[in-house]
Amino acid sequence: MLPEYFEFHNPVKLLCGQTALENIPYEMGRLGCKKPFLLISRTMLDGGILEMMGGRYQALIGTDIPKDSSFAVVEGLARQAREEGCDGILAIGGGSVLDTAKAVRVLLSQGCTSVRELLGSEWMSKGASVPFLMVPTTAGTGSECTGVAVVQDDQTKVKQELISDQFLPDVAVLDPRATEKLPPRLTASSGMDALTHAIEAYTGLQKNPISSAYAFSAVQMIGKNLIAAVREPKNNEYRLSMACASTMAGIAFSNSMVGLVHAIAHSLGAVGAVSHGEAVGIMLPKVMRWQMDCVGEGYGELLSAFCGLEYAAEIPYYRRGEKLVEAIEDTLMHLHQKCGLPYSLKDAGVSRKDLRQIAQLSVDDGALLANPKSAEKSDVIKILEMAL
Amino acid sequence: MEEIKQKILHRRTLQKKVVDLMLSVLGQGLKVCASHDPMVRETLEVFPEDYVFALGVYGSRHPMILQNRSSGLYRTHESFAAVCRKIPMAPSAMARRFGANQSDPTKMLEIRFKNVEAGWRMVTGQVSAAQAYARHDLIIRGEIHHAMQFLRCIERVEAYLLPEALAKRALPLAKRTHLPLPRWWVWVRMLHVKKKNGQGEE
Repeated sequence: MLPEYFEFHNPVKLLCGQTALENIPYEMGRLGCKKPFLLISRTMLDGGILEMMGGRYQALIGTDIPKDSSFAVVEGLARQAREEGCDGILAIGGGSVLDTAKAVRVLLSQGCTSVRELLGSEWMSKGASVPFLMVPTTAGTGSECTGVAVVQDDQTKVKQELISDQFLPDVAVLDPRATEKLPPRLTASSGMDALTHAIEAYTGLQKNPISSAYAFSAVQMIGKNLIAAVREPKNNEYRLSMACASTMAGIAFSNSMVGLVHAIAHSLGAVGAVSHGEAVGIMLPKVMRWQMDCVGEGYGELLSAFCGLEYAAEIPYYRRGEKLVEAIEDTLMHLHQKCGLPYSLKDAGVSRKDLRQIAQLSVDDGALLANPKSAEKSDVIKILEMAL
Repeated sequence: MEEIKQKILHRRTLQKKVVDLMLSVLGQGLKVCASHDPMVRETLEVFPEDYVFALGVYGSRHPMILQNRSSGLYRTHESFAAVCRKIPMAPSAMARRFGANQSDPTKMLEIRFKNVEAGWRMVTGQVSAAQAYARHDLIIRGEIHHAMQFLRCIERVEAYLLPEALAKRALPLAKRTHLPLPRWWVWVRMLHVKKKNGQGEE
């Protein structure tokens, strides 16, 4: 059924394939960037990625980006970029590097000095043009196509969500060479993150036909390639497929938001220090079971994408949602046995005494607003106990 | 043709006035619930002193501005607050007291509806806060989790103020939770809200 009103926005140019990195200098020239600020993780810099792009050129290089970025880090980098007269940003790294780069870019384009001035949703108007390119080195966050940046507030230690289409880059580069050094456990957890993005986007309150099309395709690609990518990490085709799936899932959830799984995962990260991909992997089947009464039909539609048309055709339509949950649990168990991905909260090191705090943070998370079933603190505690 | 345009403009003007009125009423309802409803009281207690909540429509002044004070929530309209701040002869303490002034942007939450229609839908109970957000009706400036807490309080107050059938249809929390206070009592209390003393009691 078509929603009464929806919005869809994705102006990002995608360069996708085996030689995508080599096109970066051209794209920077096209966008008018002569002195980019290069934000890159040390591992990627030492791996020769700049050489793949065509050698070093005039750029300010920043590699001191911690795993969990914060307001102070972002403000420091923005100050550095202003002082050096950088006229564009190139970010190469995982979710944290990309989110940091997004916040730096918006600080520069809006002319702000503090990240606190950027807090909120959909209030920013178009600022100064700052060319912005991204090369994701994980295949999960979809950050290269989302208008959301998550940065930790140093003072309150809470991860703040910044939402605006000003965070979208001009160009996103998907090259399998960027993800070839990813260990199997990270491939698995980022794959689960992409799957969660797609499923939540397909069933959320803000869903629309266009985002659903991206989400469906993402689930299809993940169903075919996730386990293969973990089993054969050197296979470029599986890596590229997972990168594409992650991007499509990112486009989907950027236009229809995520839900309760992410609300809980953010809190698990803040309280239990559980990595995001692992947290969503643990919580996804539990939350799906809890809200089966609301969105079982949507889950049923995704069964054919995840498991194949022939399998789905054999299952009666009223059981397809349940079968999707079982299939995801089987995938998670397989990944747990193959590369140690945690299957329960206990595996991830979360104890029962933290559950109340996690539940309280979860109900205050912005992601919950677009969840198809409204949840209170008691509901979240029940779900967490199921996952323990 | 002119008649149709006039009709549309007239309808918009009327809707704007109703939205402004309903937001003022909601603000008064929040003042009552901040003292008497356990869920609203617990939620607003964590906000610091002088924290300002503002709710309005894009492109016009906020009809609802609430400031968290030790004596309770202080409610004002942006027009009144702007006038108070501009009076040259008024002592600054008076301007601060009636102006609901807040110079620190991190101690403010501003929620605006993108247009009058969006505000109309929410104040008349056609959509809940979550549905309004899903329709991209809201512009939020401030921390998102503060916005979540505030919108939950707004929904709670709407559950009191709207007719029961309407509230249960549009508001998901109203369907599931039992309201601790009678609706008529909240309406009566809104006519006169007592201030809290220093210990937070009335």
